[in-house]
Amino acid sequence: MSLRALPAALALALAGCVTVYQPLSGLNRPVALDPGLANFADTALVLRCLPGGALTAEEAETLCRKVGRLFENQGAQVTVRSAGRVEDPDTPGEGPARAALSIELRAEIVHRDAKSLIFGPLADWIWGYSAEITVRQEVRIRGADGFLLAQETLTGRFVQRLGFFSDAEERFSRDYYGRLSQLALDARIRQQVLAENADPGPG
Amino acid sequence: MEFWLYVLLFFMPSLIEEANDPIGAILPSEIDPADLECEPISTEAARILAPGQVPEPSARGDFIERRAVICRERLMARGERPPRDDAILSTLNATAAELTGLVAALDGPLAGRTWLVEVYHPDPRVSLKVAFAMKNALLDRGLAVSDRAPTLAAGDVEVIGRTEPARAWPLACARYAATGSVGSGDALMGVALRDRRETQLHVGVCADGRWRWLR
Repeated sequence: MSLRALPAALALALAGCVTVYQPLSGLNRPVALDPGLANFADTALVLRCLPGGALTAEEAETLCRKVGRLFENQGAQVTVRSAGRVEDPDTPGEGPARAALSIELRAEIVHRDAKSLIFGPLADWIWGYSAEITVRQEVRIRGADGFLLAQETLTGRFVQRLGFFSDAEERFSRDYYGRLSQLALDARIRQQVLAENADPGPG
Repeated sequence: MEFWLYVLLFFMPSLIEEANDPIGAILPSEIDPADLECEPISTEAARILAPGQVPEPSARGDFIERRAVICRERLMARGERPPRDDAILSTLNATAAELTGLVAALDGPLAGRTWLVEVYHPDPRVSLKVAFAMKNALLDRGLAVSDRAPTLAAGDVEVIGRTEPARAWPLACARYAATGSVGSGDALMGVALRDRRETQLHVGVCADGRWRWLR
């Protein structure tokens, strides 16, 4: 190796494995609300994070805890329900008996890939330099009567590659929590608007 | 020199694979990845949308796992317009199709009426675009559409302007009917943004002096 190649080789040696994030469907939609404000003051909210797919039971619990904190910070009264629980609407449980909104989260891995710099059957085993994962989360928001108010698929892609700096976690958190808050707010306003139909009107 | 030849031969397959990747590429893309809207699609759908770009599977078996992600460059770069308006306008075609679908479902009781469209959005420029899209979508569904805007007397506007939004639309509807602005042969499709923080449009119908929200 000549001396001229030394800077490039040094840069490669100093580079680490960093994660790059790309928002796909849903996560790339703009967010109009400020999640730092009390957007859900006095709103009762039930959260369900369903294990299976991309989430173990423990991960689903962690997700619900984090999302619950997100809405609590915006003034909501949050109740986290475990996925397997069968509810009797007449039996008052912990938290509000009738939630204004019920949010259900379900995640799955769409694609997982390990890329290699070299070809061959043992390539990934010898030197897999780049891994890629695409994750999709289904969000369903229902009203107190079970009416589906909002539904969206949030998809994000994460690629591991050689690099020096990564802000993937911050960018994903901003997109994910922002979009989730926006979906819930849109659902709550839709619920309020439909509730204004006091009389049957035309049709 | 030998070093670069080694790099070229050794890394070429991966470099070729990544050349078209908006975020994985070694060389930065001309387009900011934030201004791309990408969505994973099936390879079958990709072959229809972009013929020739995704190779057909070999008759003797395809041992390469192929997948496709379709990317479209955003019409307006991020930050060019307020996020709320960006969210509404970037999906306006789909929203217009959805909202006019709800209106067209009232075809039984309101069949044969001429539709007027009124849009409320804080930005009049957005209102104009939304109204234009809604009228086009109504025409696409074979409904009769008028460009006429329903009008109210100055006194009505003053009272309705001070009324809370939940009561303003039914009140305006009743006044439209009383003044004949929305007559018995007409129906009004009202499209509104009800909260400045939301990124969706609501739709309601005014006919015979009665107002009803559809979404």
